[in-house]
Order: sequence, then structure tokens, then C-alpha cells
Amino acid sequence: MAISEQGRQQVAADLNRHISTHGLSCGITKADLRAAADAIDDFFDTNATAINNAFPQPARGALSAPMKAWIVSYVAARRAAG
Amino acid sequence: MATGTINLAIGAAVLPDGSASNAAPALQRVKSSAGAPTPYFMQLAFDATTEEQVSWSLRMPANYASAPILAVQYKMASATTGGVAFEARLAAVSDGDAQDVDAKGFAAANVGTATVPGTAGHLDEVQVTLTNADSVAAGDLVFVYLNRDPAHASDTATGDAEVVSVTLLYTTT
Repeated sequence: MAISEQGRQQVAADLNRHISTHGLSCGITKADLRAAADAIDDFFDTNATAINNAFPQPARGALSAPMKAWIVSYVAARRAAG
Repeated sequence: MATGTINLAIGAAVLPDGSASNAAPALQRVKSSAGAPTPYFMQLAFDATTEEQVSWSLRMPANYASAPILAVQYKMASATTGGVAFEARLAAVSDGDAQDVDAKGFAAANVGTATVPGTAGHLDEVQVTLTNADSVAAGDLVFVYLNRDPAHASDTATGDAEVVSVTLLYTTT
């Protein structure tokens, strides 16, 4: 299920905080950054089945959706950190 | 007539208490990456999505005549495109006014906008013309308010706007 509007606002606020804290250059506007985050959230919704199928068993069957989301989050964060 | 100048030190800014509608920017000490002797300076980091404010108090100099302007020098923490909107307000109380200073409010907002520099960290200046100046006069107790208005249509730049100096300019007698 997609993040709520309030949740999406918080994601945008957190992203703005993150890029300031870490001095990450950002060549797009706030609105464009928000749109990008919203699109990724929509992607997760649209491709929920495919993402779930990427988990091998027994994880696919045994883990909750939030736990799977945390796995995606940690992997993505590690890739972002390089 | 000449231009009068009142420097509002970053370190002298009064930060609000963080209650609803009273969020404060971060007051940061910055160490330059240059070699020794290394400059240190203070800055106020205004958030891109939460409205944050600071204020200063001063006595308006005796040579104040008119045309107050708030000159805000800032740099962006990360943005290289978009704009920023700063809002400035004045509250002025004259000696002898029938006004409880503890209950004084600000006059209407004045807004200044700018396109941010194309490189993060580069300096830019926004001059906010204080058209709504609460009838300020020489000798008045003056409160000066500054915030970044992240909801303004022209405030589109991501990340913090780091204010490094604030100066009140005016025309002298």
C-alpha cells in the first residue's frame, strides 16, 4: 500500500534534511525531488508482486511485508553509501 | 543623506522555543576547510520544508530617516537550482507608547526572493524591502524577524539555506 500523503511529506522533508546534512549536491527543485520520491513509492505499489517474488523462500513466505520493506531499505541505503 | 548600517550578529539571534509555529533554524558553528589559520563562523540553517524563524532586538539609531531594507547573505547547503524566499518583519515601539512591550506583535510580512547560486556554498544576497515597517522611527525599540518561507511559490530550492549575515540598511537624516 502506498505511503499516505502525510508520509510522503515526511519523506520529502527527510530527504531535504539528508542532503543538507551530508552536503549532497542537488540539481533539481523541491517539487521535483518530491515527485521523484512519490514515483518510487508508486513503483513499489505497481511492482509489489515482482518485488515480493525476488525474495527467496523461506523469507518470502515467512516474513511480514514491513520486514521485507526494511530489507529493501537497508540494501538500498548500503548501495547509496557506496 | 547616506545609508545607515546595523549589523544583526548571527550569534545574537533570538531562537524561538520550538513550539507549534515557533520552530527555530539550527545555529551552527562552521569551520572552513581552508588551512590554518582556519576561519570559523556562525550560520543559521533554515530548513527547506519547515518554516523556521529568528529575531533580533535593537534601538533604532538617532540618524534613522526612512527606507529600511534587510540584507540577508546566505549560501545553499546543497541546492544548485531553484529559488529561496525570505520573509522579514518589524515591530517598533516608541518611548511613551501605550503599548505593553511583552504583548507587541509584528507588522505585516515583507518578502524577498532570489534564484540560488549554481554552486552550493557560493554566496548570494537577498535584499528585503521593509515596506511594512510598523511606522518605525529613530529611537524606537525594534524587533526584527526573519524566516525562510518554504511554502512560498518562489521557494523551490532543496535543502538548507544557510544565512551567514543579516544587516539592516536605512536612509539616514
